[in-house]
Amino acid sequence: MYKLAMHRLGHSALLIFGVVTVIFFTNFLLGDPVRVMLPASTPPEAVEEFRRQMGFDRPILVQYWDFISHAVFLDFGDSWWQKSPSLEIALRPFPATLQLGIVAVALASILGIGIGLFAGARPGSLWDKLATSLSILGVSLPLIWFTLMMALIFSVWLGILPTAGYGTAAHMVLPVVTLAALPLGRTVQITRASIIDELAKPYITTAHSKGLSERTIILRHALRNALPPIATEIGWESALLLTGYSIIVESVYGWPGFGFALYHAILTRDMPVIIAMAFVAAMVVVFINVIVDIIYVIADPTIRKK
Amino acid sequence: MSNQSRTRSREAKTPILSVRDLNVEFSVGNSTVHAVNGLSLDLHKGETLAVVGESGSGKSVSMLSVLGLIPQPPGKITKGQVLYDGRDLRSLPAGELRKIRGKEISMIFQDPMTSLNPTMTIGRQITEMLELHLKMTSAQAKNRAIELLDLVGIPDPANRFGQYPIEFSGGMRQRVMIAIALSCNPKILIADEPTTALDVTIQMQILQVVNELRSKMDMSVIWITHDLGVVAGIADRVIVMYGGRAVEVAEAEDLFYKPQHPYSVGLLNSVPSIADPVVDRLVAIDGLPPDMSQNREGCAFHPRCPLAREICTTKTPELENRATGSHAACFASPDDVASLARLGADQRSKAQAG
Amino acid sequence: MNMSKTASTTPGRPIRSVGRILRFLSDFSRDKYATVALVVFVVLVLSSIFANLVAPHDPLKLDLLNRLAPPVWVEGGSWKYIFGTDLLGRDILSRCIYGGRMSLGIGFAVILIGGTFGSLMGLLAGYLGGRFDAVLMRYIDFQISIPYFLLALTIMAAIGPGTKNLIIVLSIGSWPLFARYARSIMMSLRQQVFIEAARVAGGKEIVIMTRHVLPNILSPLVTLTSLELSRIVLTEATMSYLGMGVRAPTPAWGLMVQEAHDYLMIANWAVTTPGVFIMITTLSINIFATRLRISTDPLQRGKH
Repeated sequence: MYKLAMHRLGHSALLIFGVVTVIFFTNFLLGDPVRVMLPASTPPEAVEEFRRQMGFDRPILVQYWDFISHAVFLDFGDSWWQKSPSLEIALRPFPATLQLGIVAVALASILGIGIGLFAGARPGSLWDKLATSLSILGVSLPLIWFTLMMALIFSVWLGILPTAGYGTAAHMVLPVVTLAALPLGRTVQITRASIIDELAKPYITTAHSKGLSERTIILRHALRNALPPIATEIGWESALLLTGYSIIVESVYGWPGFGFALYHAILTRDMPVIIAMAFVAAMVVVFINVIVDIIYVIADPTIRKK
Repeated sequence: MSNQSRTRSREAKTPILSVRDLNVEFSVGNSTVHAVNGLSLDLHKGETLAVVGESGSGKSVSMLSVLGLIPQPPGKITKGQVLYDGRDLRSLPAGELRKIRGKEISMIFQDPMTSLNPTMTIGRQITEMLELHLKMTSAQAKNRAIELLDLVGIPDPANRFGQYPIEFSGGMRQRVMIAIALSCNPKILIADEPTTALDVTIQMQILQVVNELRSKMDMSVIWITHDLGVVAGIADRVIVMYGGRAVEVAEAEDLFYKPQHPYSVGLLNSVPSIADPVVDRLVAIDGLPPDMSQNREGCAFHPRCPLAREICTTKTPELENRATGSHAACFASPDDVASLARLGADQRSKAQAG
Repeated sequence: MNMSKTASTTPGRPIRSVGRILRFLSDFSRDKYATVALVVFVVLVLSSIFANLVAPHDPLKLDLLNRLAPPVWVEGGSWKYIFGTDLLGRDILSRCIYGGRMSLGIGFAVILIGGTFGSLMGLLAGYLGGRFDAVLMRYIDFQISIPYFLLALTIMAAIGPGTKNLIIVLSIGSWPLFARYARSIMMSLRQQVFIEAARVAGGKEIVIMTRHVLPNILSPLVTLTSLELSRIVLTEATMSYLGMGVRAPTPAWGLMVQEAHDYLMIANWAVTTPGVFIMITTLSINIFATRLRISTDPLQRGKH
């Protein structure tokens, strides 16, 4: 158990380091920071002068070393456009996205697992067909279109929900529902498949022979064993949601979140901020992995003994 | 003589479990497998009944069907009655049937590695039965569960109570399964090849445990097996199944010394004899087990039967009383079967000598 | 000697695989949802290929007198522009048909590049095992845990938007899935008896691969490919919508939604129509893939 945890910790550190490195090199190798920062009309001599001043003329590995030796102290440099530390800019919009993410993931998980269990308990039933159809619909929805349609229907035509903004619970309804649709569909599919697998195993026959009700068998026996793939899936969806997937929803509904800020940073090519955001995103992924690992241990207590 | 009187006294009693004309089918894609075809059997109080047959003979399926445990679909019980305590289990509402499962009739299964829930402590897997059927509090259930673990011969039961199946060996898991099955003092224990997956020495231990507890708890046992050695060890009576039917029903001793069906003879020849335990060559039954997806005419065993005649290909024999007190479903005369049995015994001793 | 001869000729084999295909088709055609989905998808693909013949108008031609013309079923609509026109008076139906060319074209290109590369790497890793396998899997674990959206957007921002760049970025995101899948199938197949049997019988490795392994790999890979295609179509639409993909004035579904976004309230058809096209595409692929999984997986047979 201890060894496993240490292994995981090392893996996480490597992941964060790797993500930051990859994003650093894509930014600095594939784009020229000086061209981004200066107007196109700047005379060439001034461009070179500026390049020297900023240290962008040094070999890329030297720049990388410079960057990483500051980054280990959580110093990702200042934003190029807003003169404040880029990590601060990266973190500032995060709570808003976290709000959306937590509610959307909770909604998708609870509904998804519930519907998936119902469908998987009776494969081929009317309920199952309905659930399967809905889940296919969920994973087929183009978010860019769905978001606009929801705004059109509920804000413009029906006028029951605010169009855009941040602050009240009513403002959260549309972003949450649109963000939850796709994870909901996937969770239903995974739960259904996983529970069907479990229900075919011999220990379920034992449980039936003990006289347990089907409800008890599914909830007490099968669900726990079916949980690991479901947890992996939900973890994956959460990571996606919190690390930029919310861009569309946040920009349509005017939600001042991480995705919106990331998009802005990318459009303005604010490289220190992009890298800081990549760092935040990697931290989120690591954190979610820890939670998924914990769920694994809860679902299968024998891991502790290995 | 004593055999016959025993049989008669048993017939006078009403059986505790009675299966009548059971038919079970499995539909896979477009084909239908007729797993059980009109099986009837009686189980008496306090006896151990062995159900013997090769894989695919329908022995496990029929016994799972008794408690409605075959997966439906693809399985389906198309016909028949399962009478327990004056009630037909097949027509009971699901809730009533669940009160019988585990409480009145329990099961243990072939593979102790997969038959226990891997993520639940074995203690909990016992106590949930006690809480459900005997309405015990969790403290009472825990005490009882530890007693049960002790009863089936698990050392240090108080500590083992909180452990998971992965921490037990195969034999110990099967003991846990037995503890679960016996937790509510069932009237009947159905054992579905519980020793097949275990080492020979462990097999013996499990047989002993069940045998002891059977007399201690006054249970009846149905023991499904393909191993005639097991039958010799514990059974009072034997049902030999072939092609989803009972082909012979006999007292255990009678089956070994006076088999009445050619298939029983074949089975006996293909097993190390109890009389001569050191045999190094066995005689296999020629041919393959029947294809159960075809609803064939006649006796299912006729393609492999050395005594097959014209009639065997067109008519299906019914179980009939034989002079010895056994029942057999065969058109061949008892004398022919007896000489076939003698021939087999000769061959075996010859093989042993040579 | 004798054995290897029977193994390498296997006279029964072609007949059996024809039988398998026939059974698959008959299973499939019995399922009306899957059949409809497949037909719809084929129509979409064909209309994209023959867009120049099918589309009623030039997708780039402006008709400034008929800007934001509503679709035919709305008051003021005409049969000339069945689904209406956009802000510049371009025919939405024609743009959607040509848009399919972009969206599906990008989808297939990504599948071709990422799928081929990924499958090959996966098959190789599964077949060779050892260090190659270990390194590849470690890398894939790493890439999959990188937030893909962030990476894709950063690369696109750095190398600039455009169709070619989008295909590259989407392929980078896509190949690890194929590699993993192909590897897992290869690993499980390697354990299976019939390959062992062919090997014992002296079959050449390449013969074993093509004759015995490939047919078994095909159907799960088709399922994965369909699901990936649907995902890629969605991602492409999102990227184009964000201005990181296909560039105006080229018609592409995601781009059309973005262009019409601002006047959603006065001309919702300009958003709705390309959105519905995306949705029909992904729905038909997903329905097809779901049913495919059922009809090719023998264990799932009879459950539905």
